[in-house]
Amino acid sequence: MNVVFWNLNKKDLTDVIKEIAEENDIDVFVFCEYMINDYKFLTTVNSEKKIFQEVEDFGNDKLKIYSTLGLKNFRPLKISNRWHIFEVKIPFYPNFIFVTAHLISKVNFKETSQLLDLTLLRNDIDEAIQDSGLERVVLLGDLNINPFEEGMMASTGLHSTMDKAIALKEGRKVQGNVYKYFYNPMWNFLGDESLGKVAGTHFYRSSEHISYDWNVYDQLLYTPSLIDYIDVQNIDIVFKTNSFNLVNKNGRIDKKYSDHLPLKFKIRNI
Amino acid sequence: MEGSYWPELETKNIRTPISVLKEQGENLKKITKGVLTYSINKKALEGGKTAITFDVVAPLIDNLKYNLFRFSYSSIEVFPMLINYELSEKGQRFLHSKPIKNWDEFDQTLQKILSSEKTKNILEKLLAHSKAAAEV
Repeated sequence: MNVVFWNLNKKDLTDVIKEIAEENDIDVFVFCEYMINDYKFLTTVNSEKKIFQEVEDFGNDKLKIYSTLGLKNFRPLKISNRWHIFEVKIPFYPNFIFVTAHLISKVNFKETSQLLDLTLLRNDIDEAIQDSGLERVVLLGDLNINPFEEGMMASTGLHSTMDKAIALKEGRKVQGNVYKYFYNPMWNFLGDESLGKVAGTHFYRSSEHISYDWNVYDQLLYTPSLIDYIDVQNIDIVFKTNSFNLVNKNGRIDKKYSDHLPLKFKIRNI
Repeated sequence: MEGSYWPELETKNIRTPISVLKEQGENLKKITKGVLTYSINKKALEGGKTAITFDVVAPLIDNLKYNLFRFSYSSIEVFPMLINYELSEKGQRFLHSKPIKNWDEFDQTLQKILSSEKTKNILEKLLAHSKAAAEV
């Protein structure tokens, strides 16, 4: 199962999406900041080989999912303004909880608010695990925070680690409570000589004294039970298609398209 | 001296955000004839804060939960609190993060959220999907 996430920055990028779908044999698209006419999207991207359908969002289209894998296989568990949680049961693939998110940005909110938001997200994920009885979780989206920041690492936040061996441990004990880990492979995509062909998924030059310039805000995290099904070598930042270059000649993101680059990954079948 | 020095305690007439939300949740159950119900969750956050989330629940669609809004406050003194919600205005959606100083502001904001076009749209969709699910 090949999945792509992309923050479209409210642009109509159907032609680029069509090429990404065809060149990468995509089964599931997750978008945020989606403002494309649904009819146009479907009539452009769908082909004789693959028919995408829109997964019901119950009136909250901040996050949009298109799938070729049958809508009945996506059972919504929780919809909120900033994240959607589904139970996904697709034949020949591991069952999992699929969390798609577009979290609040530092532009409009303080870092403390981001941390609190991540705590609430984690709470909803834990609740979904309890309600569904599934323990495998895939979290995908524009988290508006880098892998190394507090909310990603905090025990009460996403509590993610860059190390599979640590993720596979039962959890970490803090003040008597045990917190389980997410594995965050996106640490491998920080910087120009990382696994990605570009130094991040988002570029922003701040006029403050500190500016990271490149960020990895678009992230994929998963629970240790999915480590065998998602190979880090099958995760990539898409920066070009046959007809479109999503980065300019200076190697920076070409904002003619979006200010974010798409993130793709593959879930192996059972 | 013997006996308790503590005063007689009365909590019935003390208004809390949760009691207000429960009242509105029961109203939702009434107007949808029980097709939609609600869930209120309380979570202790870092720094002594408490977060409350209000979800509409659709039992006929496998208990799908739809979060309408949430708010947080710092202590047993409920105010000031911060309420987060999203509304559509002139075709655009805006995420609001509004500080609330007192009960009047709380009531006004709650009314604004619950009676908004966005909430109406969500409830109608959930009702339509519930009806369809019941017919299968």
